[in-house]
Amino acid sequence: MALEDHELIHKAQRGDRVAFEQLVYRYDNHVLSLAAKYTNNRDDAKDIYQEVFIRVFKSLKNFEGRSEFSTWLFRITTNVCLTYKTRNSKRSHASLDYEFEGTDGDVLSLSDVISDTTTSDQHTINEEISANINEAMNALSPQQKMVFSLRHYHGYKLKEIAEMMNCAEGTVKKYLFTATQKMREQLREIYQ
Amino acid sequence: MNHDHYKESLQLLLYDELTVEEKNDIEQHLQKCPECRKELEQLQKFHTTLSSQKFIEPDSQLLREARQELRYSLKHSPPRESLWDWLQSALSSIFIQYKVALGGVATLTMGFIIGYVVFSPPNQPQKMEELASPNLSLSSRFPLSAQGDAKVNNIRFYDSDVSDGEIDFSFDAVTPVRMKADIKDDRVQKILAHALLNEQNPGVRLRSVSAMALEHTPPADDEIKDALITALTTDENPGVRREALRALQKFSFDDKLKQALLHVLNYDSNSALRIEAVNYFASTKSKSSPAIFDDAVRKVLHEKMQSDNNNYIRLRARAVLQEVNR
Repeated sequence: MALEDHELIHKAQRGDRVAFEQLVYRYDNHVLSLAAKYTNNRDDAKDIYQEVFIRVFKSLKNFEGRSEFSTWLFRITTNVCLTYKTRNSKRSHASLDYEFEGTDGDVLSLSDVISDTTTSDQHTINEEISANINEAMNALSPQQKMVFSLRHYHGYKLKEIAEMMNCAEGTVKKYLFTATQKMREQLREIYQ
Repeated sequence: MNHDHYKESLQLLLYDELTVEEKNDIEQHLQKCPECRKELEQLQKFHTTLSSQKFIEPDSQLLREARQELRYSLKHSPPRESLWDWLQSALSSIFIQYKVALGGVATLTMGFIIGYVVFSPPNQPQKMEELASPNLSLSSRFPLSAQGDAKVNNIRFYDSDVSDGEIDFSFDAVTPVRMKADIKDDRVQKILAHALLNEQNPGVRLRSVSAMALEHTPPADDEIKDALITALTTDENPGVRREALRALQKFSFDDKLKQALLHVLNYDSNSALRIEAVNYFASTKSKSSPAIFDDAVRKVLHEKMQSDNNNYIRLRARAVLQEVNR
């Protein structure tokens, strides 16, 4: 029978490295997913993963079990994400006002092409939309980005997000509304 | 309620975050308010646009790389408690309620830490000429030879903007080494264990664990046993897991091994592995050890007898339980 979390934690606190690894492997896929959706970058996601579990390794002896291990772990994950500074330079992307010549010689803007449902290069258009959404999310503050990512892309409830970020639910709502407003302003030409 | 509040409620409506009463209230309002209906439509379009966002999805390759890097970090540079952490935990145990006193001590300690950090010798990056001729002196008994210059991989950029004439990056410099040695050598066993846990190529992992399995004398080092248990419970290749189980059979039975075997019985999707695990419990050696068949083991065997989807495992589990219960 597989050991419960508290049993693995107890063993790991006494120095059992195998127990620590088993504990890590129960949750690390989700930690990596949170980091990947927050940063949208493989190397950054791995860096965050590393930092999270090194913090867990150092702090596990102080974990008293007052909350679920998963709650504690995901709180560390959100903290690391919020303070993480990406090492990669910004990727370039085309502005919506970028102009190019269409097939019949007319000058078109990217937003014209995006709204044209007859375009043959839908994959390229989707890539550009994705790049613009990425830029809009990166323009948010870390807290706004984290709340928006957890609510919209991970499906966490606001109450759960508040627990992970160790703040009031009202604060989380405020971050969500502000993030939504800013992103809508930036992406208005795409979705309207 | 003003419209701004309704607009916020519309966002929560789409996320299903409203109570039943709030939901009824906003739905009644929407029937009377064309402005809010338009706002809802815009929000829905916005959500549809967001669904085209492409994210990096962590695949098994990314997870394996992350696990390997973590394992390497914990093994080679185990995170040490900083002087501040040690002082804090030591003082907390004595002065649990004295946070103000701790603050005063913290200020004093910061002075020592700053002095330690400022005056300790800095880590110098190794120069390229040192990397070209590494010190290879594992053993004088067995021939070792460097197989060429250091190879560069795993380049990571910290600042790739070269407009200021500089670039900041790190890399791993790996010097290939060829070694011919006694399989019983502890260092050989450790290298094989490292390969078992860290090599991406399943063929290399399989050859490493097979070599470890063929050696009949178990190494004294628990680190080897732990590596085999980790491979048994986490390697994605069933051949590697099977060889790890074979190699573990030469070790004395203990709680760690028992937990690993129960993990295989409960979670391994490969029936051959589960068969090996139940056969281990069925072997004469294990039945003679009373410590093996505790309640946890009996419970799992009982579950396997009733519900494993492999007929042989169900029969074998029943046979083991019948024999043990005599």
